Amino acid sequence: MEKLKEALELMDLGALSLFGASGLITLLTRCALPVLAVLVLVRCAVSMLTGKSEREVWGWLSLPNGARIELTNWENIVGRAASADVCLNYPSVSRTHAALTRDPRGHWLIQDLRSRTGTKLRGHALKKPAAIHNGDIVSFGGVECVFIPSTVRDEKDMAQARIRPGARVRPGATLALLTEFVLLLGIQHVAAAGVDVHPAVPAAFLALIVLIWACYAITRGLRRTGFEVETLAFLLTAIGLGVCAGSDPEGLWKQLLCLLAGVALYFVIGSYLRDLDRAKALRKPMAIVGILLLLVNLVTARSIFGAKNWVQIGGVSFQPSELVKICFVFTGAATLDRLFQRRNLIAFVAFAAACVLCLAAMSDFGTAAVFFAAYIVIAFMRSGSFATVFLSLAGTGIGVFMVLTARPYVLSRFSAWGHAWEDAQGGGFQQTRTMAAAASGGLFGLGGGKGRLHRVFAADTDMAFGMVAEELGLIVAVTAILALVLIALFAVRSSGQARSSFYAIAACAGVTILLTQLILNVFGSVDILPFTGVTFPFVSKGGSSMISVWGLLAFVKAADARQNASFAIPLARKKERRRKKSGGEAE
Amino acid sequence: MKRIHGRATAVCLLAALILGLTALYAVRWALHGDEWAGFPSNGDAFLSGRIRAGTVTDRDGEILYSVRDGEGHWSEDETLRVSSLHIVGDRNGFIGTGAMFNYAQIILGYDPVNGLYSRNGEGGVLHMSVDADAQRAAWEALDGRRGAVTVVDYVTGEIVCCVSSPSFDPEDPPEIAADDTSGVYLNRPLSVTYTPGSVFKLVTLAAAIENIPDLFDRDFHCSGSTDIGGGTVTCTRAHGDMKIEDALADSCNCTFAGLALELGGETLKTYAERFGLTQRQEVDSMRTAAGRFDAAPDGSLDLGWSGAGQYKDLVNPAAMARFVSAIANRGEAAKLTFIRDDARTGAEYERILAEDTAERIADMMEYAVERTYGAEKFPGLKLCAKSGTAEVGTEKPNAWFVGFVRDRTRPYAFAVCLENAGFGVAQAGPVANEVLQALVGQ
Repeated sequence: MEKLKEALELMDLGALSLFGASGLITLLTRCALPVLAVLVLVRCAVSMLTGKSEREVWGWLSLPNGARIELTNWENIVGRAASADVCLNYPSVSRTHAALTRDPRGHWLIQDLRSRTGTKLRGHALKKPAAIHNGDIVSFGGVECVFIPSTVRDEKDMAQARIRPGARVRPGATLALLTEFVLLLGIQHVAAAGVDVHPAVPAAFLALIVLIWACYAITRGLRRTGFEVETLAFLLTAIGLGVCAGSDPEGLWKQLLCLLAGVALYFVIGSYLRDLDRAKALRKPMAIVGILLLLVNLVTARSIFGAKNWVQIGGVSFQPSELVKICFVFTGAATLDRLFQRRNLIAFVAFAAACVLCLAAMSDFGTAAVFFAAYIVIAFMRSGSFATVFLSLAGTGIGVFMVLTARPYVLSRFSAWGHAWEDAQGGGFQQTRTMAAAASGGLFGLGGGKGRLHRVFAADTDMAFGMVAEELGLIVAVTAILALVLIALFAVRSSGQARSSFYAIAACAGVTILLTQLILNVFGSVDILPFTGVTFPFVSKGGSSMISVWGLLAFVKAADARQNASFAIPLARKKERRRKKSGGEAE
Repeated sequence: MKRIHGRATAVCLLAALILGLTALYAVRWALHGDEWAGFPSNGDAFLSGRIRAGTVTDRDGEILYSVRDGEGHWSEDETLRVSSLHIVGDRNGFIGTGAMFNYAQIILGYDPVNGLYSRNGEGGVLHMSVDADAQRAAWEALDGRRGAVTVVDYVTGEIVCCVSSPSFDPEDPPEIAADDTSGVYLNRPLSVTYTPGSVFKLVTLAAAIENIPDLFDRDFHCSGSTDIGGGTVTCTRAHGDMKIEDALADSCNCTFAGLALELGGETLKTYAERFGLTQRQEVDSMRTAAGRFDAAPDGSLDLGWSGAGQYKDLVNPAAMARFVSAIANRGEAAKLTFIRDDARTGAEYERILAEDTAERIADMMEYAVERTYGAEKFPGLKLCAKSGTAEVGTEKPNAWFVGFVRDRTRPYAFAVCLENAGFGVAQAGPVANEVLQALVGQ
């Protein structure tokens, strides 16, 4: 009864004349935003996580018993272990016996992985990696198999047979919902600002809509139909524009510019990753650039807001550590052949330690934690060894303990953790205000531009979650969290299908950085974790951050091997042309 | 690649962590969101210390404070404004017990679905449990004297009257010096403690009833003074031979000092604690000041005086009203609240007295009114009461009067204390009567 009365009162248009236009717009749209956000999320989730995963087939091994085993990746481990890609359950085969790898041009290599009984190719014992061709007989500890790579014809048939994303859940319809979300959010902000609205506010939201559809047009133009990752990123970006519009309308110009730069970087990195050899070659230069950036930062940095992680060049300040995240992922990713060389892992450990130490020296503990998390995931994915992970954790734990013992004042920065309300005017200042604002928003929010948390220092960066919860409500705020979680789960799912472990590791490292930032930002600002002041990916205001998160997203795209899904993965037909040029070897 | 895929699930741990922490946050948000929203530094709730929206009314809907068009207005009635200042709050946020701060989430109309969003900008309504007529009556009866008037509905625990003097008109605040010592910002019923004097004899009496089996058969004698531990306890006059009922009605110091010695300091302290007189009592999200009872050495003069409410004894008026309300409510004290309980079901009780003990004390308090205070001075009320004249050094004594209406249809328990006003019943008795008449006259 109470609810009904409430609803009838809502309908009472006579009463509406009492509010201003902005009140009316908020009233009419505040429930629409959460609904649209949830619909976008659910549609993307269905498209990304459901449906059977169809593997690509790049060749076969024909066994003595006549069975044919599919080679579903570019990198395959042959062995007795159940976890081997080609499982040969014969006593004479080692658990991890050999690796069969294909390069982007369709050339296959076989490599013995220090097996007990050895590998023979065409009757000769294999000492070092050797090329393997159609019909070659290869013997794994006496188990003889015939190698048959897929032909261009096979690959075309496969491409025809595999389902393309977007067939079940139409990306255009999802984008229409997203467009409506951006439009309503923009209208709310314009209405809230009234006649004095800054021109950047309507411009930013309209520009975002144009950008979304332009990116979609490019994707379709490249005959790709997977657009879920971008859709979620744009949903978060829209929410982020709302945060910026609420706190600093003038700053929207810069934010918009950095968004364009970020999306451009996304396409550049994605395109670059298409060619695995090219991507692999970039690893060392990226490591050097990353370290140099951090060192330059360390030497020239100005201390802004406690952490010395800003560099100013020609009046524009930016955070090099944001760009180093992309270098870090490049450096950490590795193809299968490198995974079996300990030297490579040690080099990466040294690189990671240097990054984390530089950041700690800048007192940027939040970003140091983000890099450390990415390091742990990369180290584990490369080595598969829990010992490596535990050693790293223990070593870092001792290091942290020693730092805290020697410099107890570092700890005092986190003294309010867990009891922010008892120190609401001191160490808990920002957390208490975030929680108060988040409560004020309820489930549906006060309306875009109607919040007041933005008056608190750093609200649009460190407390972005509070601003979203205040203006758009808990539903949209949680949807934003889930959107990133969804991208991460998609990266994990994709990593099984990724053509190379390089892509799988890079995608997982990228989403680890995004998730760790999310954890520290959101749960630090509501006093569940220590308040460290890192950004909420895509949502927090900040140019360097916006550029780097879009760059990281390209790695997720490069692991998405669904048919015609990702612009970062070459299509079958293009390969044909290239192969003809190189003489049609696989034919 | 199978292995890499397996290892990639490590990222799922992070995702699971996020889901877990989000759930934890959502639970905290659901449980504490109202408190968070009412946080005085919340810009959505307050504008430089003043609440942004909402209305505060008395129990019958009379407006105590209301925000219209972004401007806060107190009642139109000056007496009501002044008498309710300490429970509503002032313009500068100096009064910590004001409803604007302590019940902000209700006044603003917080609910988890809409947060502080208010369709018509009016916010919510806080129906306070106080009665505007009782507030006015108490202020007028105080007639400029300093003190605290507290009346509690002993069935529901609702505070129906809470007046603190001195006060001022919040619409026209006077200049108050920074070094002001009058305590004008203090809400005396909640935030101060006073020497209780003879009203503390109710505590000694309760302990005696439960620890001295032949208490009601005993004959007591008062010669006007008695020597204890090298000093003397005196009465206003020699009360002669009497039973315990008369000792209470006459407020015989000699008798109660003797009982205190017999019971011992630790026993009395235990009872003072059990009755909630030495702890802070919860009033919704607020706490009263804590009283004090020090157990003096056995056989000492201090112990004797402590049983008569002197020595170092201190009580808070609201805690005293709660104790008296337990006597009225057969031993169960309802939790104090300033929020009108529309459903009349929400009270939480704590048994602090055996029912039998409570009834016997109530009988004796009723007897005291008939014999000593004069039932005719409280027309139409079936009053049970105890007075107190608490010596406070060189100044005039504090005048106390506590008690209740023994009628569950008019369940009012009260504690009145006037600072340095003189003799208990003579000064505080009429104030109690005026307030009670205003309450029952409706």
